[in-house]
Amino acid sequence: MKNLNQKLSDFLVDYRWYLFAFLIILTLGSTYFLKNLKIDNSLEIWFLKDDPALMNYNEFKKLYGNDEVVLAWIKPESSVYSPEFVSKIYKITEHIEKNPLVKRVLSITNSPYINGKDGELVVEDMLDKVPDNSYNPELLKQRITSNPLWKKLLFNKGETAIMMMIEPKASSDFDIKRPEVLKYVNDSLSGLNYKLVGMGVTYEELNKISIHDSSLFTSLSYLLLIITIYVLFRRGGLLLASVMTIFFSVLLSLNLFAMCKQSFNMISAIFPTVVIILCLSDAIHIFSHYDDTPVGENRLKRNLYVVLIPCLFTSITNAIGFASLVSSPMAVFKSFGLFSGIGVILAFFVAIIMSSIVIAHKEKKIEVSPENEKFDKYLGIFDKLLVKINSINQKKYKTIVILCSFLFIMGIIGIFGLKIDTYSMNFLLDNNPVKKDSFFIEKDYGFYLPLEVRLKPKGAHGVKSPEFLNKLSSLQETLDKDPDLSKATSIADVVKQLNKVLTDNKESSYKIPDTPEAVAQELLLYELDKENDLSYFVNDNYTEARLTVRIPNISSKVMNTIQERVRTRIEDTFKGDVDIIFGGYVPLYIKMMEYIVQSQIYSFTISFIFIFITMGILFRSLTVVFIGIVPNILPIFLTLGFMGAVGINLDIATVTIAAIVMGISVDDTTHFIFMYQEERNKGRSIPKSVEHTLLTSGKAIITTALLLIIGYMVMVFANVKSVIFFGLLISVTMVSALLCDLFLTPSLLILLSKKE
Amino acid sequence: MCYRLAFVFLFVFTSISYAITGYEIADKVYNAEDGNDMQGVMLMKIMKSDGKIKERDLNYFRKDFDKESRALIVFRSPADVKGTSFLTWNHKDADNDQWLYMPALNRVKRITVSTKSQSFMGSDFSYEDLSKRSLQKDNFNLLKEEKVNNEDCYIVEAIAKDTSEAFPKKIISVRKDNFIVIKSDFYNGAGTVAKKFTVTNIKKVDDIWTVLSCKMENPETKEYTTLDISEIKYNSNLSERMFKVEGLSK
Repeated sequence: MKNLNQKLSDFLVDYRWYLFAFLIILTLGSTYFLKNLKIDNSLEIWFLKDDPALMNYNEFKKLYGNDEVVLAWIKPESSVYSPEFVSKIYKITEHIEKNPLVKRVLSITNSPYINGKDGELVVEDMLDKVPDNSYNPELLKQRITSNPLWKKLLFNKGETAIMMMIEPKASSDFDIKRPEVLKYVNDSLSGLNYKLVGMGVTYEELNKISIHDSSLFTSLSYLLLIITIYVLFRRGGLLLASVMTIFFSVLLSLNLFAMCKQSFNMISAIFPTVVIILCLSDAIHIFSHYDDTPVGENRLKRNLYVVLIPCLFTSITNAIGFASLVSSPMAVFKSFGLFSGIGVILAFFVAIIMSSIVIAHKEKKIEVSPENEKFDKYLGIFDKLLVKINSINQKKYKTIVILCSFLFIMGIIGIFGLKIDTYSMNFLLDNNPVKKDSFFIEKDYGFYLPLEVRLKPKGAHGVKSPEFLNKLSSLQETLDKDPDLSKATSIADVVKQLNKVLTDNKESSYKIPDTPEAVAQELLLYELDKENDLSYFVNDNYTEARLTVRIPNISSKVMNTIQERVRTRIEDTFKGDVDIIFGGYVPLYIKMMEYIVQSQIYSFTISFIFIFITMGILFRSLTVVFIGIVPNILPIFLTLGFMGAVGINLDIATVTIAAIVMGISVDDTTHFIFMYQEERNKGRSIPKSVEHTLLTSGKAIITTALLLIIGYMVMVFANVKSVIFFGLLISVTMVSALLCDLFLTPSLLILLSKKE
Repeated sequence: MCYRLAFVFLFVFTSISYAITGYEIADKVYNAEDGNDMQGVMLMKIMKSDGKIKERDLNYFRKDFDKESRALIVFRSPADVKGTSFLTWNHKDADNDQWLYMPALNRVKRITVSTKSQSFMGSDFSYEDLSKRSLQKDNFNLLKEEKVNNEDCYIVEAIAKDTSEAFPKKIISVRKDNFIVIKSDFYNGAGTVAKKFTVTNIKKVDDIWTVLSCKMENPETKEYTTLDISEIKYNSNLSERMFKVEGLSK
C-alpha cells in the first residue's frame, strides 16, 4: 500500500500538467452533452420502468387517457350565463381545442347535450355557435342543468364560476411539452379572472423552482464557500485551487449526468451542491497538511504521501454513502446516488490535480504578512479551542461517553415520533400562488384530485348489467356523502341520462334501465356519435368501468387512508362481484411512501456495511472500526430523532439523509483515525496519540465541517420546503458529527486505553 | 402565313382538349347503375388513433324514392343490440332525417344530431359519403387522365359552390370504364387533405358494378374505417314499409 501510495503521489505531481490538460479537454469537450439536460418532476421519475405500480398507471393512461387534467376556475364579472362571458368561453374553448397537444376540452359551451325534445332525441354540443342576438341565457342554463353530471363538474359551489377541464394528449415526452400546454392555456385565459389547478400545474411549479433553486444553490454555495475559504485561510493559492476544483468538478459531473440523459428534479437539483462541498474538503486537507510538511525537497510529494490515502478513502466512503442509494426501489434515488458517488470520485482527482498545480507553482511556505497574521490569529483560536477540548476529553471521557449514550436514547425516542409521509403540495411555501390557488379551489369548487378506480364486473353482461350499474350509482351517492370525497362520476351517470332522454324525458326516468339489452342499445346510440366520450368511462368491450372520485390534495399517508376507505365501500357494495384496481396518480403516490421506508432501510444498511468494510481495509483493526462506527451512528439517530421531535416528515426529500450523512461524517472520522494510527505507529501512547491527532488534524476537521455546514445552510433560502429541510438537517447532522469527532471519538479511544 | 399559324394553333389546341368535361363525368358517376334497391351484409371496422378497433355487424338495406334515398341499418350482433335499427332518409336538397329503434325499450326515437357529428355509425364515413350528392352543389373540372391502382381514370376536381362546407374541394379519381369513384381526397377549408377515400375491391354483382370494400381515413389522426359488403342483392323489390318510421318497430 505504501509503495502504491508513493508511486501514485509521484505520478500525480510529476505529470500534473498533462493531467491538467487532459482534464480541460475532457471537461470542455463533454459540455456538448449539456444540451441533453432537461427538467422532470413528474411522478414517473420516482419509479423504475418495470415497476408494477408504474405499469398499472401506464395501463390506466392507455385505456382512459391522460389523468393529468388541467382545471381552470374562471369567474365572470356578472353571471356565468351572460352573453359576454359565454362568448369568451366559447371562443377560448375552441382556441384551446385547436392546440395539437390538447386532446379534449370540456366546458359549459362544448359539453355534450343529450336530451329529448318533442319526442326527438337531441345530441349536440351545449352551444353550437358564438352567442348572438338569439342567445338565451336561461336556455343554456336549462340545457346544462338538465344533466346532473355537468352541474357537478362544471360549476363551483355557488354557481358563480365555471370550471374548464383541459386534457393534454398523453405521450412519453409529455413532461417536456407540459410547459408549452400550460403557457398556451394561460395565454388563452389572459384577461379573465381565473386560477389553474391540477397535478400538471403543481409539477410545473416544482420544475420551475427546481431550476431556480439549482441555479441559486450552486451559485450561492460557490460564492459562500469561496468567501469562507478566503476569510479562514487568506491564501490566494488555496482560493485559486478551490475555484478551479469547484468549476471542473461540477462541470465534469454535470456533463456526465447529461451524457447519460438524466433529468433534473427536486432531488438531483441538490447534486451539484453536494459535489461542490465535498470536493473542497480534499483541497483543504491537502493545503492544511502541506503547511505541516517540513520544508525541503519534494515537499509536495511528501505532503501527498500523507494525505492521498485518507483523502482517497474518504472520497470512497462518501461515494459509497451516495452509491448505496442505488439499492432504493425508486429510480430518482438510484440516479442521484450513482451520479453523486461518481461525482465525488471525480472531484477527488480534480482536487488533487488542481492543488498540485497551484502548490507546485508556489513551492514555498507562506511568509508571515499582516494578512497572514490575522490567519495565524485564527489558527491560534483554533489551537486554543483544541487544547481545551483535549483537556476536557482527557479528564471527562467517561462523562462524555455516558452523555452521548443518553443522547442516543433521546434520539431513539424521537425516532418513534418520526412520520413517514410525503406531501408534494406542501413542498411549496405557503405564499406560493399555485399552493394558494389549490386550497382556494378545494374550498370554492370542491376536491379536484381524481382517485381512479377500475371496476371489472364478474357477471356475464359486464358493465351493461343493470345490477352492476345500480350498485355503482348507489356507491357514488354513498361516496359523495363522505366529507373527504366528492364528485364521484362513472358510466352510470351517462346511462341514467340516456335512459331519461330515450324514454319520456322525465326526472323519474333518470335511472338505470331494467335489462342489459336496454343498456346496450342506449349506449350504442351514444356510440354512434363519433365524438362521444364513452372511452373516458368504459373500456372497449364494456368489461371494465371507470369510477372517478375526487379527493383532497393531501399527503400520501392520508391518501392511502382515503383509498382504503373507498376500497371498503366498494367491497361492501359489490360483495366480491367486481375486481377492483386503483389506477391513475394516487396509487403511485401512495407507493412512494412504501418505497421511502425501503430506501431508508436498504440504503442505510448497505452504506453502513460497505463504509465500515472500507474502514476495516484501511485500518486493519476491528477495534478501530468499532470506534469509528459509534460517532457516526449517533449523528444519524440524533437527526432522525430531531425530525421526529419537531415534526419534519421523512419524505422523498429527506429520505436521503441517513445514507448521505453517514458518508460525509465518516470523512472526518477517517482522517482522525488515520492520523491517530500514524501517531500510534510512532510509538506514542493512546492518550498522547489522541492529543497529537486532535491538535493537528482537528483544525482541518473543524474547518471542513464549518465549510460543509455553511454550504448546506445556504439551502434555507430555497423556495421548496423539502430542500430547506434537507439543508437544515444536513447542517444539524454535521454539527453533531463534528462534536462526536472532537469529543466522543477521542473519549472512546481514551476509555479503551484505560481498559487496556 | 397567319392563317396557317392560326389553323395549326387551333388544330393543336383541339387535339389536347379532352373529349369529355368534368361535369359530364360527374353526371355519369351520379347516374351509374346502382339498382332501385339493394341489400347486403356490411362489416364496418373503425380503427381509433389509440389502435382500438370497433366493429359493426349490420344488415344494410337501401331503396331509392322520388325525392330521397332511404337506408335501413339493422344491427346483427352482438346479441344485446341485435335488432336495433337505424333509418335514415337522405334528401337531395335538405338535411337528413334519422330515427332509431331500440327493441329493448320498444321505442322509436327521431334523432337530431349536430351537423358536426354527421358520422355514419360513429365511423369516418359521413352519411353523405354513402349517398349521392347533388350535382348542383359543385363545379367540376377534369384535371387530367392517369392510371390509379393500374386503372385508367379521370381525375376530376369538384369545388363546392358553398365555400363554407366542411370539404369545399375534392379530387376524385373515376374509372373510365365504369365511372365508379375509386379514390377521393377531401380538402378542408385550409387546403389540406382532411380525409381520403379508397376503394380496395370492386366487382360486378347482378351486372352492377359494386364497391365491395373501401376505406376512409383521416391522415392527420391516422384513424380510419373499412367497409366490407357481402351477400349483396339488387332490385329485390324491397318493401316500402321497411323504410317507413312505423315499419321500424314491426
